[in-house]
Amino acid sequence: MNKTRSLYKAFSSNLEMPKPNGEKKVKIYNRFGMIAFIGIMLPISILVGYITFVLTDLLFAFNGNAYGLLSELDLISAFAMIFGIPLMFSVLFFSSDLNFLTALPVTPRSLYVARFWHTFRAENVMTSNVLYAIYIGYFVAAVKNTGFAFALNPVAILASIAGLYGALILPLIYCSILALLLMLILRKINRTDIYYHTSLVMFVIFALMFLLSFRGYGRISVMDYIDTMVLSNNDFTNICNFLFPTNYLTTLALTTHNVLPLICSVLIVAALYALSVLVAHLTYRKGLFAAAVIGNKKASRKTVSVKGGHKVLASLVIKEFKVLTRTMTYRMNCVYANLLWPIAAVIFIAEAPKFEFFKVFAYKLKNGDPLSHVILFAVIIAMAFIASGLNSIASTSFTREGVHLDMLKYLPAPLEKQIRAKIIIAVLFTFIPEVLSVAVITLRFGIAYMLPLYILITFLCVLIATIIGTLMDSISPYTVWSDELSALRGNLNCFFNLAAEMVFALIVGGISYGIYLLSSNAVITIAAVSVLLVIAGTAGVLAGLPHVKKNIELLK
Amino acid sequence: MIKASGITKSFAGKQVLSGIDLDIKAGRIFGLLGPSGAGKTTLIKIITGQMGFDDGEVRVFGKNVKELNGDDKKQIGIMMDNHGIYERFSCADNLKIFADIYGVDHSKIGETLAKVGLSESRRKPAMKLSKGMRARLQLARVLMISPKILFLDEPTSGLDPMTMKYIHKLITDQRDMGCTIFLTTHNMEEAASLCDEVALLNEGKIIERGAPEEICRRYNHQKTINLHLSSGEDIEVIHGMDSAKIISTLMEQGKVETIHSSEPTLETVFIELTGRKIESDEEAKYA
Repeated sequence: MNKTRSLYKAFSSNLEMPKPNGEKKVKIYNRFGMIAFIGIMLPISILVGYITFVLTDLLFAFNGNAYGLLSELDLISAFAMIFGIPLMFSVLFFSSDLNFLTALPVTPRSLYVARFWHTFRAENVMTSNVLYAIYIGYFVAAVKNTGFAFALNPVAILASIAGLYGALILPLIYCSILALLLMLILRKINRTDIYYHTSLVMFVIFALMFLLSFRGYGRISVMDYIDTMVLSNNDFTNICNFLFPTNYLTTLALTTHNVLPLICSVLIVAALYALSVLVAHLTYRKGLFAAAVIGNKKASRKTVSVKGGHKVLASLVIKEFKVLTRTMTYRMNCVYANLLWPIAAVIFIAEAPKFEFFKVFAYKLKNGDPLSHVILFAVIIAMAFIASGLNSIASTSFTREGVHLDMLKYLPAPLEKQIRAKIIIAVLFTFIPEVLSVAVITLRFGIAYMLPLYILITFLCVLIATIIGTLMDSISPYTVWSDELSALRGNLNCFFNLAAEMVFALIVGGISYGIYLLSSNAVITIAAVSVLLVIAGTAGVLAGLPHVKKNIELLK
Repeated sequence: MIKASGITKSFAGKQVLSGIDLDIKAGRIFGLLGPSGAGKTTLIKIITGQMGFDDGEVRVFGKNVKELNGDDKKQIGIMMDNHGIYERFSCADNLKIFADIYGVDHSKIGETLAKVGLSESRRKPAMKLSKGMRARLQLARVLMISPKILFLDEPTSGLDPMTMKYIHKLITDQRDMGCTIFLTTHNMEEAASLCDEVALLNEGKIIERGAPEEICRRYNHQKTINLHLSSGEDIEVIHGMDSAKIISTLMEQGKVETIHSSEPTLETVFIELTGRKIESDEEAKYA
């Protein structure tokens, strides 16, 4: 137990990013933190809490008071499951020091337990805000409808705590078991790419499974949705009740104050966790052997890739491309994450016509309604900024170099070129999927003539967003991480950057709307904002890049 | 203490180790020498149980490596790359983690830090240590457990001569206390001065083994004596019937300033056997 605790402590040492050196940088970071809190955490928590409150309040009339809460818990569990598979693969098998640890007097079971709880803690930090907001929303509605004493019954409180943790812990247990078994099954196949692709296939299968379950949402109105919930006809909830019984059981205990479902829920989690520990005990060591072989192959492949007679900038761009596409964690979180935008655009186009508001919006757009054009213009801008923040490519530009960051200064390639290569690759990975999404949307709305302008706007927004991300990372890159996942998950730069991009999207959207209010003319609005974006993009390139360079040069 | 027979390992159809046999006796320093990519780290990983292998058998403490239990592993110290250093933790906290894992009393932490000269840095985070200090911290981690076997993968690579000397002293002290040491290095001088026995590894095969001086003697095909004369001239006298006569004549004439015999070094033996120079991993990286 002592060993497991020590390992857990050692792994967790990477969870929090240290504050940067220097008073000025600490001040800047505190401001970023403030922006992130006001720009992301607070609005998301308020929004989620409010949605839960409204849904629960409405559902009380139908005697299905916790169905809203259950749906949200199921959504969180579903997403945890989708993103958990690559996460657990990476955490359990591809951390740099794992093989070394197996040679120590540590059982694979201890190693697994320490890894699992470390990951749970890291993930819980990310999702707990939303979960707290959901439960607060529920309890406010419950107090309003049933009174203080009834709503805050001790069993309900305990059930909410169990639900809060259970929503995340169960998917992580499943993902751990899957990752352990998959590694065991595939270890005989001595090909690196199959390991990675299997993980990707699993990711796609789960994503599709859940997305298909969502299809039902589009066909039904809110009232129909409530009906399906009350009548237990909701496909998504039914699948999730089976996959994540703890969500169902804890909400049952929450509403009925019956302690039995609560006990069952705790027992199910305990039993599945024990099963995962048993699977780890039996298979983890063999899986780590297989991962060690992959590690060696990766190293030899990297050596080969250095060769080639490309020009300096092209070589640097290729290097960045290979780092992002050949490192599993970056590929999953930074590269494939961009594919969600075109997929979301296609799903939106397929499902949206079922909604009346879409038909009206499409009609107005086609007939040149100025406000509709301004709204679409603002949406495209927001998408570009948020996509850039979400993929974390720009905000990990220097973080990805890790402890070898200093090497950038001594490489025979000029630092400007190295920065430019990082920006080019971040822009390309974000811009191409964004253009696909924009093309799908404009074609579907029948305004293909706007496409060239939207492509230009998307490019400018992605460029500006990338420079912002790169600049933020250059202030205090997070270089001391033991595995690539910590470079992303434990990295406040990514979080701050996302907040900053959201604030920028909001500002540009606000300016667009303001100009429209003043001019009542879509052409003037779009032209004015486009000019502003051109100026901002040029300023970003001319002033932002030297700043990035200066920051890196001054890093100790 | 450590016995390997017929170890074979392939990655994606490419054989990286082929029929490796080793027999390392207790209380000796064994050096595995070879260029970058020869398979040194892979072999250490196999012997320490970090990696499986395709064929052969490895026995440590007389037991199959796959059957080593926690108590056996507590007697094995491993120092590889930068592994086992948690950057945010202080030197003392880093050792505390491993003291818990190895069941070592915390009172030994201070003692070990003093032994490696890190007492004053005990509260310093590992990320603020110099390269030499990091190497000493890594060594402290393995020395703290008083191991019976010590695996050191390039322990002095990239270090300054003073730190290198310091680490050599710690290693020989361990050997004198009865510890068996398995080290890999590309530094031939280090191997010759430190190791009781060496094996030269090239392209996954052991091409020569034995005591360093014994290997050098074995390859001393053309025994020569080098003379530096007071005139500034250097002459090479090949061992033979007349060599003693030539040297004594020159000495009688007072023309000899220095005289020394010329045996091959491990480096020249390696070049003779493989036709290439041993280069470190770092040299290979930038070659």
